[in-house]
Amino acid sequence: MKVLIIEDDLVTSDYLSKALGESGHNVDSLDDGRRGLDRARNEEYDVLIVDRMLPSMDGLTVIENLRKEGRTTPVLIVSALGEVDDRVRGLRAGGDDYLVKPVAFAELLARLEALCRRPQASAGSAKLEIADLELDPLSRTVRRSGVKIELKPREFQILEYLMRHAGHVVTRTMLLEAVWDYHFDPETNVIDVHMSRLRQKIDKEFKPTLLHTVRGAGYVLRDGD
Amino acid sequence: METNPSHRIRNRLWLASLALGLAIGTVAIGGVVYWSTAIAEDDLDSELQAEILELMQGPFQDGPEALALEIRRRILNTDSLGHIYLFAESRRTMIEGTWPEWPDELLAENDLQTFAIDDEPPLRVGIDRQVRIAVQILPSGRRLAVGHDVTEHHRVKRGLQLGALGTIALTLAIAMAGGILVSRRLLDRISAMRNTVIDILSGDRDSRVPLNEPTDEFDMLAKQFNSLLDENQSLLRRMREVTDEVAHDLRTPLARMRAQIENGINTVTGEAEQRELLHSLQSELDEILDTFNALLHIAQIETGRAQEEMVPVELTSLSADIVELYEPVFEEAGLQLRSHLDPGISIIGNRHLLAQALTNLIENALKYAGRGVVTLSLRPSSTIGEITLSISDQGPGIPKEEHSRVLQRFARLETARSRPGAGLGLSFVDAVAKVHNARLDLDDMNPGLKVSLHFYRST
Repeated sequence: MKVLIIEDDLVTSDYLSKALGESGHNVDSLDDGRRGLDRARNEEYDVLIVDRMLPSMDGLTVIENLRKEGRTTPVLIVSALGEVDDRVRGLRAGGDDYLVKPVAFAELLARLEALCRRPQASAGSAKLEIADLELDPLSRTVRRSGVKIELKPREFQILEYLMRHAGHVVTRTMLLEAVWDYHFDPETNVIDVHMSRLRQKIDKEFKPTLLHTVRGAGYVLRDGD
Repeated sequence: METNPSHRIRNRLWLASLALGLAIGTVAIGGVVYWSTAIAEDDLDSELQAEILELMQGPFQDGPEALALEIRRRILNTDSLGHIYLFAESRRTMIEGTWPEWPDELLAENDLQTFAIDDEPPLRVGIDRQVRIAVQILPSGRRLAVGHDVTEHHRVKRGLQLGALGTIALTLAIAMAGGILVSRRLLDRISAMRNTVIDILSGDRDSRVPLNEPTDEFDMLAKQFNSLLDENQSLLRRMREVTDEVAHDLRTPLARMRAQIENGINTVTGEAEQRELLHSLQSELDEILDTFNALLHIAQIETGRAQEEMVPVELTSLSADIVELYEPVFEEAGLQLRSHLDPGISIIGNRHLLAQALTNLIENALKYAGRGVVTLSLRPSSTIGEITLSISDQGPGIPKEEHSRVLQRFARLETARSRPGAGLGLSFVDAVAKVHNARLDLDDMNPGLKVSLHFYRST
């Protein structure tokens, strides 16, 4: 992935550049809104990471300008402003996702990867498959090795989300947002309990294991280790 | 909000404009009267001139004798008093006339003149008479004069004019006095408000606009202005409290962290030890951030930012979702989560805040109840138009004397100190309740705690 970070806090942007670089991504970073906008106009990136409060031009204006010019590069907003209405404002301005500082790197990486695949992933009602696991969004049925698996509605939604993001890490927060539309983190790990129930149903009696826990990050649905 | 506002100022303004209207009307009528008396005078003048012309063109053409005869006839025939005819040879020699001689005051000019003559019988005694006379000098040097007694006319005219002027002056004076009075009262009220604003700007935040009895529109405005100031002041107070709380409650853990770091710099040497220190610092920092976020969140709710997103929210499905989310967690923890939710109950609210508040309550029950059944119920309460959302558990509960204290920030019961959490759960719920005009009640279930939120049903 080629990533542009527009962030004026150098510690944060250095940390992100380094961590993204170590995960094998190409990173440019700028600490100024106007220059960030120029760079995003003149060069192709897979995804932008934009802070909200920036010198010379705030992050939302940068995004609005890009969108006005018809640029659809996915944008992840990373901001210290974390209320629901801040989030809404960010998404309205044209951001594709919103993270509140402080950000865990695993969360950020998972979101970036999800953003880069968004166009294909969100497409319609075609059957989803991974290994011998099948999910039909239309009839809302799930089969593994041809055996029908009964899932509760939420479990179905979780699995559908995981399958649309197959091979990529999905964090607990992403699941809470996507499946329950909750934009806060509960104190208890409610998601873990649901995941273990889902795992019971789709993995317990089958080989190979598809649903893996990624320590410190979340979950991934993947064929093989 | 008053339903029956006083209209004293409106009535007063009504009166003022009525007075202004009357004043303008009076001035106009006075002007018309004045002007019409002048017209009447003009009419008289042209009448006199017409009579002279008539005499000149008629009898005068037949010679002075004929004119004299005609004048004589007219004098004798005039049934109405007050007509004057003079036909004279010169000042001293009168040919024919109402008076025996040409009055000294009457100038021998082709002109209209008004003059006063001494009272003479048989006309009224004791009244100076005013006469309006048109004079015509004839080619032979003789003089002809036709006149009217205008005493009465002048008296009426003078009376009318004086009356009109007097009325105008009087109404103007009254209108002005009234205007000054009303405007001074209005200005007084406005300057009372201005003074309050000046006081507040110069730092006296307790200053308020004084209210009068009985209340008028300005008092209504002043009341609203004052409640705006109260609201503002309470927000300021809240902000100050929040900064105090942040300072007070974050300083301790930050200081602890600092000590840990300092200690680490001096003593920790091995890599494993360093890693352990960093992990412990990270989790400490996470907790500080949580506390900080929770505080900020509550402050933002209390300062009204949540009001922007008030929409109809179906509490039933919102509660069902949360129950569904937590049911397995309760099971794993050896508890039971049950729900009694009446279908289709909606309120006007902020979905995110309500979900989070409910989550907090459920997590509290999960954390503190320890055993038994936790019941979430949503149903109309016994009070009409109210909806009660309650969560009851069978845990140790909260002693009654502690009930008000647990709503305060950072309050955690001594028995719960060892558990994680910043102790902001219930005060968050309380803040959310306030945003929704809901009431938060704590009840002792012996054993167990019941937390109830009473909402107004949306219509």
